[in-house]
Amino acid sequence: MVEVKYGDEAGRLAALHRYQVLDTAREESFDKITGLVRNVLDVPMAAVTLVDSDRQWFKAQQGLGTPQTPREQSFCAHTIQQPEVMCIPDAAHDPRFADNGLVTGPPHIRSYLGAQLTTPDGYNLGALCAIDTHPRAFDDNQANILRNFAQLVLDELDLRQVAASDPLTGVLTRGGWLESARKLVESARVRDEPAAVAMLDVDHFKSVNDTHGHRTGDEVLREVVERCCRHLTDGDALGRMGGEEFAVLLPGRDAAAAREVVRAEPVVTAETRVPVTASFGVAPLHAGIADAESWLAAADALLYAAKEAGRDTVRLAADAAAATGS
Amino acid sequence: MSEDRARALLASALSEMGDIRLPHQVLDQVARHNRHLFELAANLLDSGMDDTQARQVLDQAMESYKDELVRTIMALRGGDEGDG
Repeated sequence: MVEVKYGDEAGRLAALHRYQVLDTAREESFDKITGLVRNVLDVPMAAVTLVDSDRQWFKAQQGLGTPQTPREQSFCAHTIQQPEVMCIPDAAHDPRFADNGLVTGPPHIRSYLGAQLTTPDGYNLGALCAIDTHPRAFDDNQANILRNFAQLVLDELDLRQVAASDPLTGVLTRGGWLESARKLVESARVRDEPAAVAMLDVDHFKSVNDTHGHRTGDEVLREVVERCCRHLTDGDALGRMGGEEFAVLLPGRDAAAAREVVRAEPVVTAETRVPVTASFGVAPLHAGIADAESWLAAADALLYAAKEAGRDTVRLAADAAAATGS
Repeated sequence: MSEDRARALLASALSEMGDIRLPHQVLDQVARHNRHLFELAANLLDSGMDDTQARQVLDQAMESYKDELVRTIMALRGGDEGDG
């Protein structure tokens, strides 16, 4: 039984973003689950609901007719605060929901059953819900069935996490990181907000492996990741690009702020007593960057310049421009 | 009683999925998923469904997971090759 972290809303939202499912396209697999919920529980509406900071967004929905609603209207926002499946037999006579626009207006919700989508690390991302336009009491067996379907939804999301996570360090794979970067390019441009990519490479890592063995090399990489993570905040995304090369997405930060993040602490592994340094390339997002791949390439070019400059150093886009006189 | 029937239903449904060689990274996930399917089968039977109806629900529930599992295994194999 997973212990749910009810009070940790920041952690819950970070977990939700880690699953990278918000604002993604409709998918048959989740539609299939909501279809099963409708048939088995005999309800006209069902949804896979994810509760974001200010809205509920439906990964799949049948009968609701909208992709999202404000969070204050969300029944599922209440469900994620409960330990058990939440049952509302008649919303019109429940003081929490009687004045809710989804009850008084379309889709005219009257009864609701919601089962939490709980991650293995104890965060309720949202709920799988069954909704009727008539008052009805759902029995324990129906609640158990809905809970089972909710577990299947999470099973599928978790499987995707395996493919998106580097097995050695637990950070994103290159593919998972690029997916996050694509979303950030899009959202930063829509909101006109700064963002940067910091790419780092552990200096002389081959000699760490050659001298101390691959097991120690693996420990060094895990330690590098742990130290990086100490300086990251919600929304930042760390990925292993391959070998000893990592990239960090830094939304909301310009190049100067990104430099402070990557310079915050020297990379030294105390446990293995293998002092290592790293080189960094930091590229801010600007109009000349076409997509996530070219953004990563820009940071990679700066990383290469840092290596060429003798390693254990940082190269920013502005530094590179100064060095070439451009 | 419904537990035995649920176990038999799940075993039969799983056997028709074919033989998929699972990488170690997904063993825990697949074991957990099978446990959830077993609980679902038992609850469906407890609700009064007959074996045929419960089996149909199980088959549909398993279908999309199987597709995702194959995609994940392919991605993991691609990653292994890349690291090698």
